[in-house]
Amino acid sequence: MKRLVVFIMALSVATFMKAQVAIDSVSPEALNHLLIEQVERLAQESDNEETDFEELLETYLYYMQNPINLNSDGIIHLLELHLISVFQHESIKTYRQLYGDFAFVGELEMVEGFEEQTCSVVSPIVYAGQDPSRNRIGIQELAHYGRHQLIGRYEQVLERAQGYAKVSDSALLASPSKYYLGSPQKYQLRYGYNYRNRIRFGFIMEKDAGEPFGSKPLSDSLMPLLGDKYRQGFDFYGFHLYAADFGIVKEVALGDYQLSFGQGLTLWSGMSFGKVVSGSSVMKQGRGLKPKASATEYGFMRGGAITLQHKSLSATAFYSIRNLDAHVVTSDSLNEAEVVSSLSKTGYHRTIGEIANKNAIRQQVFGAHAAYADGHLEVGYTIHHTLLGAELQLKPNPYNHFYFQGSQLTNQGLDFKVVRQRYAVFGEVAMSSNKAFARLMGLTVSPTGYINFTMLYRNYDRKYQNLLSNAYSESSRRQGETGYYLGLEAAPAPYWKILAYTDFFRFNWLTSQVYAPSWGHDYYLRVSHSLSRKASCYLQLRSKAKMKNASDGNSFSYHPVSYTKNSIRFNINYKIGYKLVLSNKAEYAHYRSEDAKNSQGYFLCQDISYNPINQPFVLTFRYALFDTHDYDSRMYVYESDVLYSFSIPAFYGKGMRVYLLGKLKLFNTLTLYARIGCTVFRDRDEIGSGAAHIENNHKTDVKVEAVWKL
Amino acid sequence: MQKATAFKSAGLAVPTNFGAIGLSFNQFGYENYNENKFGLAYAKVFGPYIQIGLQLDYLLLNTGFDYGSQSAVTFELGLQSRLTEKLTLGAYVFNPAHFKLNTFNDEPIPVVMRFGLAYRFTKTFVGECEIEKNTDYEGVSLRGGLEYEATKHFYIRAGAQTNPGIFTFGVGYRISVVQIDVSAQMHQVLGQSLQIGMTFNFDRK
Repeated sequence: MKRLVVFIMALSVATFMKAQVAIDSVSPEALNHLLIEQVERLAQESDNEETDFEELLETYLYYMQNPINLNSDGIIHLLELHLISVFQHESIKTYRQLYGDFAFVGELEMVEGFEEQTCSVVSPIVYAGQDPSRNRIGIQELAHYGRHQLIGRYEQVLERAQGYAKVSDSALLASPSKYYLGSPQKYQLRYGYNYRNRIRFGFIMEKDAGEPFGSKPLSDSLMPLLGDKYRQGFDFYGFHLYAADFGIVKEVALGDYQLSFGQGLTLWSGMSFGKVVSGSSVMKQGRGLKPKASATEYGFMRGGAITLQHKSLSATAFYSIRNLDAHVVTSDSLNEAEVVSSLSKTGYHRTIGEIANKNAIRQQVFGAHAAYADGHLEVGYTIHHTLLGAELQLKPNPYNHFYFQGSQLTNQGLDFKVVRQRYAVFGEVAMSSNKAFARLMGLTVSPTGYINFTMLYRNYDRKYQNLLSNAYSESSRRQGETGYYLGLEAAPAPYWKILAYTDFFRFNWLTSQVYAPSWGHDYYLRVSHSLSRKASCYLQLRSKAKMKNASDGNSFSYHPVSYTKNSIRFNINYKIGYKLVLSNKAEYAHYRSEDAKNSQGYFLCQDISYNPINQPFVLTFRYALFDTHDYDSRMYVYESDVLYSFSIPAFYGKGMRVYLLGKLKLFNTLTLYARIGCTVFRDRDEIGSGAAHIENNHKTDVKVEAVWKL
Repeated sequence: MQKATAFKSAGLAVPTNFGAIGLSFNQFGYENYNENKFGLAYAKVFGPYIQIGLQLDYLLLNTGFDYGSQSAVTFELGLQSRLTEKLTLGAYVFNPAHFKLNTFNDEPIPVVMRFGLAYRFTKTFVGECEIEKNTDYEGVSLRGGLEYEATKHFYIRAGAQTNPGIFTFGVGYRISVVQIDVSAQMHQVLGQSLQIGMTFNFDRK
């Protein structure tokens, strides 16, 4: 008998140790790689180096630091983050019903449909614990269990761009958008408080490079040019307060927040991974309210929102008021009212022109969402009304013909989702105040645990108008688009994973680059393989065809031509011993167009990351060579960066790129990051154009960040 | 065969207690134009999985007809890691800091970057592939090679390269401490050439 007791004790100790090991050995590498790939593809999609991914990735970082309890309803966040499919979400719930709560994270591998790659991606942001009690929270507990985080960051490009030149008032007046009024440093300060993901608040302030900070960015005689727009201090301030699970109040948000419901056709503020997410995650999961903690200056709500829930029914009401950057002109009509000719989304306020456009128009949004959700069925109804402080009157170009103009816009939509064990059907229909419709329907099927495929059909009327829509689409405007998507995600053998999709789309109206209805396709294939526990590689093929105006056309006869961009990439990551992680990447891109020369490019890089155990520092180094014919065959490649900062530069021309990133944990509470990167071109003596022009063949960027956690 | 494109090379490696030290000399060209590289190398093995090598180079370019000679100092780095029993990865970079030949117009020395992998299918059969970027040339080169130990100490090899297209075929045979390698190369522009190599390995007696 005694022997049996000892045996059981040994067993329980072993289990305990296994749990410890599982937690300790979890590294976020797999998750990081997944996010890197997603963001690189997103950068390709948006085709814009300046796109701010912080807003999107911030949520992942947040959960890495504040993991989700596998035994709580919080696992829905994994679905919202596109880390698991709707079927995997169902099988976690089934597993818990059958076997009870998770005792340790490693148990995930026993859940149906959780192959090794999904487990390694999910593990870093979950834990297995007791479902926390929903008792009332005392001040003492808030003070004791709450977590504080304070982050300060500085960054700068060392080479002086032309926009920073000191010039006379008359030169400034002659070209007001050519010179920056502020210094080349960028500063950011943010603070956040979190109590068990239930109470959060924080603030953020930021000054971008080139934005003025002092009391007088211009001489007295020129100050009137800025009107009353300029305020001393940081350019952007944000504040958020969020609380969840207080009786009937499911969520409440004050200050800056994001809203997303259903498939995002009617209302999805902020960014979404759009079409680049994998397989079944094309089916979106609206996450209701979410506090907005990032410094992104466009696409968010500012005001208040509340969600009440009673059993299967929930209701949300929201109000937002804030000023948007816009170019305001006086209309030439008789009453001479002020109208808005364009909205600006960059968030930069560096030049006289940019500052004059700052906060130029007031936007109010209010509305409500009601939803019914039981285990297998979700139905929601959303309505919102946008009120602009001045009429929006875009340039009278044919491609703007159906775009929203005016000052008031109402949208309403109905979304649904039916989830069964092997398939799910989802969709949304939305209508704008001009009685135009947008529709989206999808089906995702998982015949066995390791395969699922997804079909999606979308049809957005060219008259459909919505400023807050962010549903699956090819173009950034959710209007005048029809398309079919078919995606496959499969794990055909252990350690192998295949991801493939095709997407056909057709635009039935003009866009700013194509002066005729046009069409295109997008093919993608990615095969990944885990060579061992310490090494993994993938091969990625991509082909995308779209149309544009022929560059040889004159202004009287535009005709569209199609162009295709193909790329192939091989990537391998491997760990050597316990200290070194190495990675190699090789990419080839080819651009073919009917009206221009073919163009091709290469990118090769070696990454080395050194992380000695029991030492408080990590060093990451990259050496890369790139060589492309021109901008057409550019490539977007992710670079490691300081916490809460993301860079995905576009590489074109001929040259090399190096960076070194260091992370040093000084005390338990303080972590320092520093990064220096340098790009050297061999084919040019100057970089960039306009105000960003640098008269050098190299560009050096420096970042320093301090993260203080308590 | 063209004499003007002759390539000669000699090297010596000595293992010591704190790593291996090497000396090497390469020459390309003929009397009126030749590129010489003198190398001093150091290599070290870290654990069973990783080997790192560093070489300091002295480059000397001799041009005939009173054009004189130019020289420069640079370095190269190599890294080899054994991932599994069968798979070995390698990475290499020459002149990563982008040094230039010290002439009046700053003539650049190319940066060369490579990485490749070797896969040992069986004990006697190895396949290799590699990608190389040389900043002096357009595009990249891809290489593939196979080696088969047909009978004991007798090796048969074949390989191909793109950009420029090259095919190679070779054999190698080892007698005691000496290994003799002979190969033929078909270059799409320069035509055919022959290479002979001798390696003395006193460690392997």
